[in-house]
Amino acid sequence: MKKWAEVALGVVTSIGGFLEVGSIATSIQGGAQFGFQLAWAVAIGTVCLAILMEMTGRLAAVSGRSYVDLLREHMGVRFFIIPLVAVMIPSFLVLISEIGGVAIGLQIATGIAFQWWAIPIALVGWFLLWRGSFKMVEQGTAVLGLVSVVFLVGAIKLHPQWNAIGESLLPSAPSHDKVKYWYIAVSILGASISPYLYLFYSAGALEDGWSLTHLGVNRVTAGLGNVFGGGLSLMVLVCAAMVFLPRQIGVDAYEQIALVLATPLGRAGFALFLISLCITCFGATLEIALSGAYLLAQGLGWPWSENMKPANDARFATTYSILILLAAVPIAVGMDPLKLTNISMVLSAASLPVTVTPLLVLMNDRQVMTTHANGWLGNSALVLISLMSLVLFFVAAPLYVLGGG
Amino acid sequence: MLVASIVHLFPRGSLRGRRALLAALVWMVSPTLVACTKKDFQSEMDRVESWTATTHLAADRRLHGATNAAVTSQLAHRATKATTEAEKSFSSLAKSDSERVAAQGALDSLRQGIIQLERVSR
Repeated sequence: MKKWAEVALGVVTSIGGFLEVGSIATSIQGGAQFGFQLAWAVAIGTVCLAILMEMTGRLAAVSGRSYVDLLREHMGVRFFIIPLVAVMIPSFLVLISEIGGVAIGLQIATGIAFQWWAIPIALVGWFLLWRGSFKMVEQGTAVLGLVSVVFLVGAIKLHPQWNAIGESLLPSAPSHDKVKYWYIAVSILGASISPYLYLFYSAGALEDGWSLTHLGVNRVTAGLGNVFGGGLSLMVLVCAAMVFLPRQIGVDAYEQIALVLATPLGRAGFALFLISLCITCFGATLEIALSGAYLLAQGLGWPWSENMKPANDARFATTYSILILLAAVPIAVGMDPLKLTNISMVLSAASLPVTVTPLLVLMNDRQVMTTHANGWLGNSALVLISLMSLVLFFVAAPLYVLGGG
Repeated sequence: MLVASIVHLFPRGSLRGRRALLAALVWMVSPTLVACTKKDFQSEMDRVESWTATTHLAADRRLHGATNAAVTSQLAHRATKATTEAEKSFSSLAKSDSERVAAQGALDSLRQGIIQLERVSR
């Protein structure tokens, strides 16, 4: 019974934690410009994330150590500097974007300019991280984030052609504006498979005290949770395709995005969109700040745990404090959150090879994984994801420049 | 600076390896370094028409009580900014008389949309 409760909570956490500023913005841009055609990018991103989360979760449950810790030990400190920098830069940009997402939501709700909200949001976030536990961060915001189910209600009310959505789950060539199409596809993949998501998941498995008995929980949480979460992301794309595409509205600003649910659901839809944007972005703000601190602390061998008092893991607590407070500054000085979101999603996509490829080595190390090492199916999936991440690395920057990000 | 200091963390690495690392990092970070200024006439027309459609949708939703005054006035402000930017762009991008006429027509429609939006936002 306790196990089932854990599974249910894990799935709910994954659903609520899936949507954030990047997945909302990129899905809306994709739907507004290309209708359902980019549904495949959401689907592929979701499947890849589910696989990576299952593997990093299994690695933590079997070895009792985090992915970052093992990465540094097996590859050496010098190699570790590469993923550290390659993940920290985009993650920090995503962190700024998430604070921007909350700030924009509050601006739309209150009329007070988003710049004024940045520092208060960061301070509230910092206070919760400083005083709260891992369970509070992980489950509190994720359960509240279930309000984003409103996108499913909105999509149903818009009466889309479900068979057309189903057909779009298979990749197809763009009918127009090829560079923009691939640029948005890369952005959607970057938003779905952000490295902070599976690094946070791996650290979270240890925070929750996972062991070999949790392998089933891990599989269901990573699989079902992401399928439902990805489904919600797909519904965001569907809503944008039904509301913006027929009117030929290309999305340049978050204020335009706020209209997406006001059309099918009226005032309630508008209000729930704002609540959803604020909660999901705030939840992601906490997760990314923690993820950055996990990355540094686990990589450099510092004591770390969100469940410990800050005095006992001072360097870990200092890292997330600096990250969250520093990330508020660009928003406070007026940096455009949507432009920053676009840049950070492309950079996230480009940073994937340095964390995905070493996972292949670790998942096949029998000393670490014992009898739970990857089989041929897991290895094939990981090789495909590694190849895709290499392609993303090479195409992300040119597509951003040519696609007019 | 950052990239250079990272490369110096690998003093015993081969020159080729260090160059490859440097190139990889520059490649990855290049989107943040490149300010995208590429514009063409048609994309600017699309942008103006998109903002015109936005003003119509926002005004309609406001009239139905689906949104608040804050988002309506923020969208009017954004649309006004888009008009100013488009005016500047069209002065250099519109090469023929027909393009200038089309640009003027699109800008007039957008201004009408903004007036309508400002009216309902009060």
